[in-house]
Amino acid sequence: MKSKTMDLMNANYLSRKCDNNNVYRSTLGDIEKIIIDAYIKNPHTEEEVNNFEANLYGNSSMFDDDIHKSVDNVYPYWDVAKTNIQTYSYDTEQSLGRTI
Amino acid sequence: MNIETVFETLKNNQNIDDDFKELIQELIIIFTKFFPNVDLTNLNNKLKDLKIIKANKLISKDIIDYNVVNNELIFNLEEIMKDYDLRHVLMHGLLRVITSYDNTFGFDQNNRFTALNIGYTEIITNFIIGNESILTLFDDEVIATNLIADVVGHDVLFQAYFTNNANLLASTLIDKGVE
Repeated sequence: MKSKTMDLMNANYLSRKCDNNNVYRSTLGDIEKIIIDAYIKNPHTEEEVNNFEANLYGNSSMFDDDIHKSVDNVYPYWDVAKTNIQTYSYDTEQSLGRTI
Repeated sequence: MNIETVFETLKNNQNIDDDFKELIQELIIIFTKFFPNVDLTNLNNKLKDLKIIKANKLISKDIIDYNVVNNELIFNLEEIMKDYDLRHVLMHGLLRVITSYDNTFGFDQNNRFTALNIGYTEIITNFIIGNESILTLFDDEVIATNLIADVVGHDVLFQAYFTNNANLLASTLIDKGVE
């Protein structure tokens, strides 16, 4: 399996791990965008979408300046992307015999 | 594997000092309370000759690493001087030991899922023991892994991690359209 997402994550991790000259810059923003692209391919409940959004935004208290720079352009990207998510209700989920 | 047997193995390890042994035993107890169904046979085997190494940052900037081949938990000497939560750091390392196989651990295979694997290890560590320090570990990997978990399902990551099942993870990533 060749995965662009895994390649980006691995490259980001390894470049930080081996950064002995302090030249590392986080690429988390690019990684988040490609995960968003995958996320919107599948239908989700509104609760799931809100949770995903919280995971994009909610961890910002732990972001250092470098991560902030990297993810600044993710939020407008998400605002557009989430309008394309097919959502369904909890009732629909139950009628399909699945459990959330 | 009986937990008492694991403690006996730890006690007989000549490579680890008593303070570390005490802390490791405490962390194993906590781990088994959260995950009583995870088999400790691998941990028991590893504890026979596990070594604790303190290295400088020229090898790695990570505060903790695990060399599966040499069975060495490696602490970054420069980083460990900072105000990290040592119990948290050691729990992260122990998870790598518990889930190690071949030359890697968790759901990694041929370095395909290295960063995701580390992010998930840190998520499990936070879940089990929290973090009493303001210094956090592997922030980028944790954030990305949480988002990936929203795509593929936390249950898939959990199962793949504790059964060393990279194929389950790979097939689910494909099914869910993760490029």
